[in-house]
Amino acid sequence: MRVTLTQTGGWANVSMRASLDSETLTPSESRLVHELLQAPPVGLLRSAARAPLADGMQYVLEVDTNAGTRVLRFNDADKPVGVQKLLELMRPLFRPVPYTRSDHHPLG
Amino acid sequence: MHDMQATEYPKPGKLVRLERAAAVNDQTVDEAYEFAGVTYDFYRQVFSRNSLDDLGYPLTASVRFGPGVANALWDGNQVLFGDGDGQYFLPFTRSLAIVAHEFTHGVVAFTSGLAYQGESGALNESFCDVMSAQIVQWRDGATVETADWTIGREIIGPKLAVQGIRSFTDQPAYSGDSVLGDDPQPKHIRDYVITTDDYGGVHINSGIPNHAFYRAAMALGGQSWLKAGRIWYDGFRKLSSQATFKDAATATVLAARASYGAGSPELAAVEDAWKAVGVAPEV
Repeated sequence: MRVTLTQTGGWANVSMRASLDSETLTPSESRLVHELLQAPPVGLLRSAARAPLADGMQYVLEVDTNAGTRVLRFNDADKPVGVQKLLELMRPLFRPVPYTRSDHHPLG
Repeated sequence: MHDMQATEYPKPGKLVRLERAAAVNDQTVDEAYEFAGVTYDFYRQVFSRNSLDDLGYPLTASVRFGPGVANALWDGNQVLFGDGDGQYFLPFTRSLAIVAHEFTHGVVAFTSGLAYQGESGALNESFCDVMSAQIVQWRDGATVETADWTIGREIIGPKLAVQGIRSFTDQPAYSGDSVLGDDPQPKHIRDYVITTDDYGGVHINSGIPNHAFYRAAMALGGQSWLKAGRIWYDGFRKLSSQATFKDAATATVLAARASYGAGSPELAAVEDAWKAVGVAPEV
């Protein structure tokens, strides 16, 4: 299982991304990831939708398994229950994603 | 001033410095305290505003928010500052501009309530950048000619080679950087970026009104907070929560006319600034 977390927004608005493979983690980390991601909805229940926080981050979590890819989007205002530990595990692995103009579509 | 001690809950964390208390010899706590004071003094002395709500709202701030959080934010009640990751970003309390920016989100919340999405969100972000730039210049006694119109220098970590994060001028803050790539901020409405990231690019498209303010301030000269800043403060507070760039242009033009009169150079400078970024006021 491969987990990729992308963070956008925030004051600096520098996109950051980290990936991890559950097989390269320590046993306790691997257990945490499996608990969080392989047993929904317990680990990934959405909290109530709230208005965005000014300068809050947005996140895209992609989970690749043999069964396919699952994508979860959330932000600092409505982090799913249980995702905090995963964030803390992956945050030290974050690396900036260089921005190029062609990433987005100007009006013209 | 509170210390989250590298956690995210519960807020506001441990109380570490009371109002008017002596420094506690903790750089992060003391710089956040000092910069909160500068922000309060600016609004009080320059715009006769008594804190965020003009009614003496307590300035609550928490430092060391979360483990390795490279960000600062306003949560609707208080400001929170991360300590950075130590590689790409240093503690966000290092920057007066960032501290002032976050508290100014509180001013927005108590005035226009600009919705944090798309164009209104970009105006929300721009107002916070514009006010924070004035606050830094006011603290430094800078004129528009001597001012540093780039923000974010103080939080650049050892793995970044850029000189700042955002620039008000017609030049990008960085370009072709091997780590960050290109500064995403446009300076003209024709380059407005449509994206689902960042709540519709609120930190990206804010470059357009930011540059309009810069052009107005440079045209009017002197100290930015005396004319351009006052006009922006008067105009933006009257916006509705769903305001567009055109609404902001119109509001600032009306504010300039109200303060300086029709046919004044101040009015002309504001009109020209918005036209230069491709936004026509509707007056």
